[in-house]
Amino acid sequence: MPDPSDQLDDHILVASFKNEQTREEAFTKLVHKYQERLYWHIRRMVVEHEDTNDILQNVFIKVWKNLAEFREESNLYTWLYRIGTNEALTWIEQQKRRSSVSISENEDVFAERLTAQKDFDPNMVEWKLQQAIHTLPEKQKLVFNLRYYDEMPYEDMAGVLGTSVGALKASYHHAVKKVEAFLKGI
Amino acid sequence: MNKENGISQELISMDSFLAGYSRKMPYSAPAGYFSNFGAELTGTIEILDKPELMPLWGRALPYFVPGGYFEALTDHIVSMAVTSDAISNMPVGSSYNVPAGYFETLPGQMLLAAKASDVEVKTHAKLIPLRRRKGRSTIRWAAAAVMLMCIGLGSFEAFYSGAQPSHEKMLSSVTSGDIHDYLQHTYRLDVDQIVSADINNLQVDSKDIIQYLNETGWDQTE
Repeated sequence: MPDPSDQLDDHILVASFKNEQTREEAFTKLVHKYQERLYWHIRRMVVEHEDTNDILQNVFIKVWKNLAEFREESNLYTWLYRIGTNEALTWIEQQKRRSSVSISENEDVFAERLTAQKDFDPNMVEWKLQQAIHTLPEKQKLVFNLRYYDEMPYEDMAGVLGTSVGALKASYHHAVKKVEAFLKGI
Repeated sequence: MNKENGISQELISMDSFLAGYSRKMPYSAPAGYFSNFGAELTGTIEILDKPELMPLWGRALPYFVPGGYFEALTDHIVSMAVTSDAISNMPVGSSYNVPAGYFETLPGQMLLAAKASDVEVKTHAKLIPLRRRKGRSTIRWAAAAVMLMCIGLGSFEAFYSGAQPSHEKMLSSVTSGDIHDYLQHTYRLDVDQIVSADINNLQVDSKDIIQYLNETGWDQTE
């Protein structure tokens, strides 16, 4: 997550983007810098690579259209993660509506997507952990992923999810216990 | 790796065995995905900004056109145009004769006819009640039917039962002269002789009497 030097880089990127002459170059750098982080953040939610690619493209198109109005009240990466989170959640909601599944059934849908992944091995602890994570509710899954995999500070996570630091800590604690319970039960 | 240690420390503080787990994802992105992603995204954005750059995925249409269609099309269109010209150049006049002054008087006649139909409509204007109750017309019809039935039954009772005379009364109204004429005419009987005759002095054979009685339904043994 961004160091002060990293934040300076982000500030320069935004300023360069706002300059029409350097906009495309700045955008290319921005994409190169954040594509993997955003990709994994989205893919941990939706599992499939093709769906992740579609959502990721939508995220950066939104960035292209709106970065000129970005007022830097939050960190750039927090803003990017917020867009990525909202796009992923919107996509999940659309999938739910299309398939008319309930929330509990939706968790089973992601479990099926996992088992359908190439090289899925239920004996590998990494696959088991993913199965456990996908039993969590969407918001709790987000909290767990952002903390466990992205190592995002709670303060930045609050900016991404619009929730207080205390609530996020409690949510993460509960998510860890649920994941442990699932893994012990296997 | 302060942050990784921080995450692990946090899990340890929760007494969670996840602290010792690998945080490596079990699946990966396709090879070369990230190196190509930027260029692909830039291309997409260029198309969004400049719709005229939308790629043309082949302009060939999969539809079948009959052979010689376009070669014959010109002549076909020209002939249609000529025909339509011929129709438009036809004389406007009609072959029917219209009576003199017909169109001059027609508006006045139409107005009179319209006014007449208006009056008829007004005299027979339908009164529409402000409030219509559901089933009210049904109740009215039913009530009218019941009244008619009552009137009919009453009439029937009055005409046939009250005014109908008894058989005795009807018989008493028949005169002796009518009976006399009836017997004489129908059975050719000499009623006067029968009436005045003494039955004890009748010269009638008993066999004739028996035969008569048998013919009229009496049994000899009775």
